[in-house]
Amino acid sequence: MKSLPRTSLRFRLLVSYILLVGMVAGGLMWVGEEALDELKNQALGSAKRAVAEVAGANSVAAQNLVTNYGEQLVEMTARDAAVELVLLLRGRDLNNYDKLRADPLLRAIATRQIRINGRKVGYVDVYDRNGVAVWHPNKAVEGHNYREWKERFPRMWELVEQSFHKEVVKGYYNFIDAEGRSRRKYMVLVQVKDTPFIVCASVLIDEFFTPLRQRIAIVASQVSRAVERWVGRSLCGARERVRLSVLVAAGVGMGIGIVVALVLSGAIARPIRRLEEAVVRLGQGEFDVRVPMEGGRETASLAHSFNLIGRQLATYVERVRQESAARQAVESEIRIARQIQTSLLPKTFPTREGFELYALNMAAREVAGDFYDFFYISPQRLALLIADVSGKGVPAALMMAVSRTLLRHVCMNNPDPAKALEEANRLLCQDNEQMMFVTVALGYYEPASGKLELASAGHEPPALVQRKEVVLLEPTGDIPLGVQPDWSFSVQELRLAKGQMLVMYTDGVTEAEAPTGGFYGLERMVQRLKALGAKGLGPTELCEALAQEVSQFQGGRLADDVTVMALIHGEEG
Amino acid sequence: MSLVITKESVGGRYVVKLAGRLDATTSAEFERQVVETLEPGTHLALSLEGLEYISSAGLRVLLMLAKRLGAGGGKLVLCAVKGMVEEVFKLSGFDKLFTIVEDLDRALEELG
Repeated sequence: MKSLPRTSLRFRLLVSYILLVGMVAGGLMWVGEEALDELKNQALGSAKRAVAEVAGANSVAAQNLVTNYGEQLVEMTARDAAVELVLLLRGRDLNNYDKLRADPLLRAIATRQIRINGRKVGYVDVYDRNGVAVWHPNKAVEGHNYREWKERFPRMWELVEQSFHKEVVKGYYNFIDAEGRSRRKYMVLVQVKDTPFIVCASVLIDEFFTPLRQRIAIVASQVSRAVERWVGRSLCGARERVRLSVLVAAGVGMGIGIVVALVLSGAIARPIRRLEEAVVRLGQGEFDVRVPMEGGRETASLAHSFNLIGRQLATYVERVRQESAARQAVESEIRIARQIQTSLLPKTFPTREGFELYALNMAAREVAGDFYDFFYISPQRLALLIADVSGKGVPAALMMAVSRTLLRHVCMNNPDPAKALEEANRLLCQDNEQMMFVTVALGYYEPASGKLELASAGHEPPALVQRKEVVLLEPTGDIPLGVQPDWSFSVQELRLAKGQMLVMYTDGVTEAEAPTGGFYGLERMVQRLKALGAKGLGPTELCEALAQEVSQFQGGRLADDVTVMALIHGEEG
Repeated sequence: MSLVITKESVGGRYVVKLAGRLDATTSAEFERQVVETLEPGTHLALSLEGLEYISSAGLRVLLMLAKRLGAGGGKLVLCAVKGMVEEVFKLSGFDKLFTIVEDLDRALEELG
């Protein structure tokens, strides 16, 4: 046998529910984490953008500030140089450029560097009113006319030209450096009084602003990192809180879920468990067990079917029980009837000289009520009788017992068999509501003389057999016992010859029916008796042979008792 | 073969026709359908024309029927008793216990 699954339906439902809740909680947690990450990225992004914007704004603001400052610084540098050169050039030959260039002091002033925080951002150079470079940090440029770069830097040349007539000129122009990069340049041009020279102070804007930008960028990145740290920290806290919340929610949900699942699974499993218990009880024979039609449609339907089965089983078992009881009753009735019948039939036959007697009864399954009897009513006379009680079963058996006792009694009191039957008839007719009756063939036999007095109460006529001569006695026309109380019976008197046999029988012989139809009948019986008589059979062999043949005629199934009695006169027992 | 019981009313008189077998098995049926349904005092013609077999149990229920009808002054007339049934009646002396006539017409005449 296959072993039962170890887990109950309820447990499975519970586990399924908990798994479901767990999955939902996990999903929530994941979604929370994702959302937090998203939030973090967005927060960081916006923070960085803010920092960048602030940094940009700072940069612009600082640039404006620094621009003003730088412009002043450049102008001051140019003016200082111009003033210094006025003083130093006084009294010098202003046309001898080589001599002038050779003076280191003049060169130092005329090509000084412009520095901020020690970083070189620009320089000073000097040119004359023709545009020829007099001093320049790059000596290769000296002697060249700036006009040469007019095409390349038109704005520069414009400013230079202006400076020929104007004391101070300032302006921006785009310079292209040795590496081809376009860089913005600011320059201030100041005339050196009393000389043909003009001082030019110029700075590269980007060089000039680089430190500032760098600083702002550093600060911005520091701010950005700080913001990131702060966002990270606060988000970390938020993450913890979210995790905690989800865990708590999942825990609470799971708790509620377990309770709900317990209740729910109980509600689902309960009707099934009840059904199971009911099935077990049904199996133990409690057919009145019913289950309530509850739960889902399926379980309710199952319960309904189960209840139907219970009812049907109960009906069925009741029917079987009744049938079995009825069968037992019938069988016990058959047994009782058979016991009565068997106890009534004498088994020991008289063994006196002068005659031989034998009788047999083959009982049908349902006792039919045949019986035979023999007894001495005087030392010289033997009463022998064969009888058939109407009906079957216990009533017939009881009637048989009554009749036998009664017949023995009346025979003892009546030397005339007809009178004996009359007395028996009167007694049997009393209170015979059920109209049970008995057919009897009664003979008084004197072994010494062979004299036989026969009376019959509606019984089949006896036969006389002598070798192959068979005579069927005339029916007396008398009625069975128990029907009409004042009936007068007649007597047939005859004398048996030596070796002549009296054969008495019941309707079990003549009314035996073949399975294919047709009765055994008187005629066939007479023919058989002739054949058996011709063989010279004695009473025992003849009775056995006839009964055997009748049984075979019916295919072995006796519908009625078969009873045969035979008496042979003049033979030694 | 079992017993077929036909109940008729001819000119206000009851007629029951039996066919088949009247034995230990079917006599209970006869008792239920005929004996117990007829009131005492009823005049009844019982035709045994179709009856093929009668056992002692069958004879018994006929006796019961005669007794019940006779109790109220009723009459039972048997008719068309033939073959094996007739033989049984003769051998058992039952022909002396019943009014038996040739056919149904005679039976109805007998009942008056």
